[in-house]
Amino acid sequence: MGASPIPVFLLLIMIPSRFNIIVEDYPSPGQNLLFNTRTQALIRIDHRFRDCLKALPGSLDGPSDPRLKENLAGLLRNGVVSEGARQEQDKLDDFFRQLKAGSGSFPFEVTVLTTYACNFRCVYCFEESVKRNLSMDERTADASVSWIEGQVEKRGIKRLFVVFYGGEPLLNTRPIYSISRRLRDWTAGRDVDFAFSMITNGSLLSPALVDDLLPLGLDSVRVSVDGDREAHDAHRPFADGRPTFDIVMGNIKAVADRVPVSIVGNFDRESFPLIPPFLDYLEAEGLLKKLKHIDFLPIAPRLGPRANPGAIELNECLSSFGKEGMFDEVLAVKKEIARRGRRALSGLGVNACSLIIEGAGVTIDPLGDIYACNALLGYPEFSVGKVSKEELNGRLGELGGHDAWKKCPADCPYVPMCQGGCRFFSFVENRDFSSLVCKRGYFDRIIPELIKLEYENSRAA
Amino acid sequence: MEIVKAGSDNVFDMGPLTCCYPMGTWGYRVRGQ
Repeated sequence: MGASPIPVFLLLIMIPSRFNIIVEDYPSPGQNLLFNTRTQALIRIDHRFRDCLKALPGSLDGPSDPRLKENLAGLLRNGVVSEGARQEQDKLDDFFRQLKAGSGSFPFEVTVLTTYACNFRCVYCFEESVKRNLSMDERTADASVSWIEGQVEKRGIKRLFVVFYGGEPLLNTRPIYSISRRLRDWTAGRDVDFAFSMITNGSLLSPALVDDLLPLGLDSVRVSVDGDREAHDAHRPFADGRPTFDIVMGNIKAVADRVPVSIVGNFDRESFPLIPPFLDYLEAEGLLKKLKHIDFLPIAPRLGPRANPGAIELNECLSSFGKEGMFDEVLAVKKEIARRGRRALSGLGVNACSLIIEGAGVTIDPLGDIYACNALLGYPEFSVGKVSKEELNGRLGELGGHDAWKKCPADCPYVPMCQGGCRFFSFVENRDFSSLVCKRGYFDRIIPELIKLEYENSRAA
Repeated sequence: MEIVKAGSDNVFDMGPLTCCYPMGTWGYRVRGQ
């Protein structure tokens, strides 16, 4: 950080940030990790430094540890100390101003559902109530492209990323071809980067399809696999009940050398033990190190019938994210992946909700209705626009414009990361989009472990 | 004292940014990465 002269009076007012999390006696006894949730700074300090920090504000004689005085400028720059509660609140207010305003440097990500139809019958499908035999026609595909082009031009977007999704998107590939071809050609003449990916159950994935799509801008494929054969087939059968693991894994192996493939899956308490054997299987097949990304997450609740989305289903899954939630399992998955030689993201991050951030990604469904959150797909009352109209319909503010973080307790260190919680979970728990969704009990258990993982990742880098 | 990772006042400088943190319910898309 470097020594820097600090005016004496600042020593009398500097206080530790309210967003510091300290993990004690790590990486070794006598050492501590300090993570600031607003700036994402991570520092390692010994006990004496930690105690002097906690004892701020100091006195005219300065803190008892001269290292603290020498490094105050850097600690201030990294948000570890602030010039007082008022100044720190100003920084937090600025944080949320930035978040809501969005950033032109991020790619504009548009998810396009080619169909609501699906050939699987996954037991936890979050589109259970909305999936049906309804596919995007060419007129809607054309209108979607025109809408996307309009957004790119109006906002001066430099990077466009499309994700084809469903239902099962490969049941209706025609819009994948037509949309990507049009966007590839249109962006080529305009200094706009374009690429696309697909999220698929993998049953219809093939080398021929991948070879067709690579020249149109395909840059990766994500396949949902829930663990080894036993776990996966229990969760994700064909609609007629037949198993799918062998077909899906066969297709992944067939394309893995042609296009980057990610595997993401869902688990519950019962299926979680079958993830390590699946990782062993991937290793034995020579696939584990080839994958672009691999991760597994707990199954979440979903909205109810189309006529009554508030009749939440899979409510029991809410406990996975509570005080007695599945943090041990989430951590174990990361450690199992890392143990096999893959670097896993620690999971520390900042909530970037597309209901809250201006100009964030959207999803276009087969009808041309626009949604700003995939958890709300297919329920027209939660749609925020249509591709036939350039302007959104004004509903986005009702869904994401509540500044839920203003309801957070003043002593919670997780406010910048959590921001008052997920708006979808607000509806799940309270049938409105404005409630505080506090998962502090879950965070208290998992965040220190993620900080340790972040530290270990930095050592391995 | 060691800075393992420097912080930032700029929200979009730090990473990763992820949907529905930390539940990651739909957070497979890690923005900016």
